[in-house]
Amino acid sequence: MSANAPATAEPIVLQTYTLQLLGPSPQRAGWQGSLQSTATGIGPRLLREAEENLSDLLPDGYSVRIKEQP
Amino acid sequence: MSEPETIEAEVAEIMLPAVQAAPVNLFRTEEPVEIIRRATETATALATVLRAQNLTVKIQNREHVRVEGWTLLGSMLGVFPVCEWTRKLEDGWEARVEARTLAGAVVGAAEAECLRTENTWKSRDDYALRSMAQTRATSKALRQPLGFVVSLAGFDPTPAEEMPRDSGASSLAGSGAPEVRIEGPIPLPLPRNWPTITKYVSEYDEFTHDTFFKFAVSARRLLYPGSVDTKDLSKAEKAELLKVAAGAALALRNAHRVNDFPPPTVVEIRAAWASVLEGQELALPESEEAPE
Repeated sequence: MSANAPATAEPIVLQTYTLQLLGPSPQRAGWQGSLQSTATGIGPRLLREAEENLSDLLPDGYSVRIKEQP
Repeated sequence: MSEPETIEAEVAEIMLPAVQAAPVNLFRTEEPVEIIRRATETATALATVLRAQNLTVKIQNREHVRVEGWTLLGSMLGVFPVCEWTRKLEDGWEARVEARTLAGAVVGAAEAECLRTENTWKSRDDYALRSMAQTRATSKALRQPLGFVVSLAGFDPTPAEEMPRDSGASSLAGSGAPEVRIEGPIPLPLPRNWPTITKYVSEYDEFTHDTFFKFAVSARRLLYPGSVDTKDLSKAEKAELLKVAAGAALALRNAHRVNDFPPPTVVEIRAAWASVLEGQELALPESEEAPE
């Protein structure tokens, strides 16, 4: 194999995000999921945009908050 | 005349089988937890495939997804681009593409153009401009319903084809580039001359240097068909070629750190050039395709 062959290493998780569901139902509100990102950082503007677009898909009264985990 | 015949019949209510409701959204569920879960799973899967297949372009230290990546994401979520029309303009082509679900619902639409006033396209064939107008409209249309998944996957949701070809320079000039700040090393400046470009690519290894400059020959031929040497170019054309090569060298340095092993592959060097040529992938000049 050439020294210039493409690397096939597994992607490395560089940042983890918490996705928190906010809404009226006590069974669902407060649910948290996580997203392990292989990017160095999703800019705050894009995070807010993703929150808004994802919230638009949810039933009325529900929204999502995405936070960077330290 | 005979009496009309009376027919007795029983009126029955016919019960039709329930028709399966159309998907309520891209994730085919109304359950909020499930929507978030599926969105994050899709984003994670997308990031893996985009990186493995080299379907992103690094511009201004942000990774932008190429049209193939957008259509891949669309197929993962059942959204497909449909070209509504293409129109010839006085100096190029425009196209309209709609993003539709399998059920036919329009969830996004965009129009885009490709003009001969753009340097890369001024001497290209008509079909190439028409195709690029469709490509731009496709990624733009898919960005509307799918952009947030691309953001969650860690990529910039502005399609690569939408980025100005000299965006390496525009970030330094501050001309309307998206305001995205990420942590990392201080960005390298855009090279202003050929010796700096040579320095940028020589710091990897000889193979990278040689391959980069072979692509520079292909880029000259693409931009200025008929030219056999840089000496054939006018002063303005030489300056333009320098600008493109500078952007490619910077893109390569941003995409691949100098001390990372192995050094850049032909694919990575080609991708760096493509990032400043509106996604156009160059071939190595005459039978000089190096092993990848």
